[in-house]
Amino acid sequence: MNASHPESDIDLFVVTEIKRLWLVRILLTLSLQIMHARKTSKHHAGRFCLSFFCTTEALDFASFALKDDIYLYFRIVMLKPIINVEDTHAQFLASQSWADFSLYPDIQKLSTSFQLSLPSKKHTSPLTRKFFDTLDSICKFFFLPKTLHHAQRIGNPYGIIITKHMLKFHDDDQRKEISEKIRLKSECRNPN
Amino acid sequence: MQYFNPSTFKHFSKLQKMHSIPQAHDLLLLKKAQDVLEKLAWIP
Repeated sequence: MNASHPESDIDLFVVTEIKRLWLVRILLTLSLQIMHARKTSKHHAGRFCLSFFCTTEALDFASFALKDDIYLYFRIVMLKPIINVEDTHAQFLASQSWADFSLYPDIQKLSTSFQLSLPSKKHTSPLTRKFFDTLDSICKFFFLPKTLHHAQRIGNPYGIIITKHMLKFHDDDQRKEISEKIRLKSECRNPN
Repeated sequence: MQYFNPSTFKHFSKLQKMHSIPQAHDLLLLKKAQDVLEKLAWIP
């Protein structure tokens, strides 16, 4: 918030159920592509960047937070949930074991104004679940090797995470640089 | 993993003020995100 400009894109953070990570990624990518709303190398202003997916099993960012990760901290504070199924946003905030978010007791209250009012989720039959589980496995089978190969090709930077429950594609992750800049500024102003 | 308490961060209060209120362009992007994602709510 308060950091966007006319050339800014929209970074989506997508939380899926278990065994939906790959299926949701592929369906979302295809849909945004068809709608000409996906960010490309030539067009990024106002378009969607699909760089961060995780399942409800990987909501705690302690797994990849850096020491004193002020950048990640504010990314979480400023995140605006648009679709919030079964109060996932509250679960997400409560899962953060690596930092103190009690300084922002109103995060959820302030975020609700941007949420869409969607009809509640319909019950899914075991057969339908099995069908989607299989589709997810098929998507993973075809796209995991390609994704791993891409990460390897660009040197496996620390901003890229590919696990069973998380797909994070921030190949230009600048958290280390930003933290270092802030630390140096701080030392210059307070030499003792 | 060392627990991070942001209030001990020297510039925390400054950063807090800077990020507190969404600006006009932030709101435009949020509106666009709502419009597009509403159409994609069918994804399982």
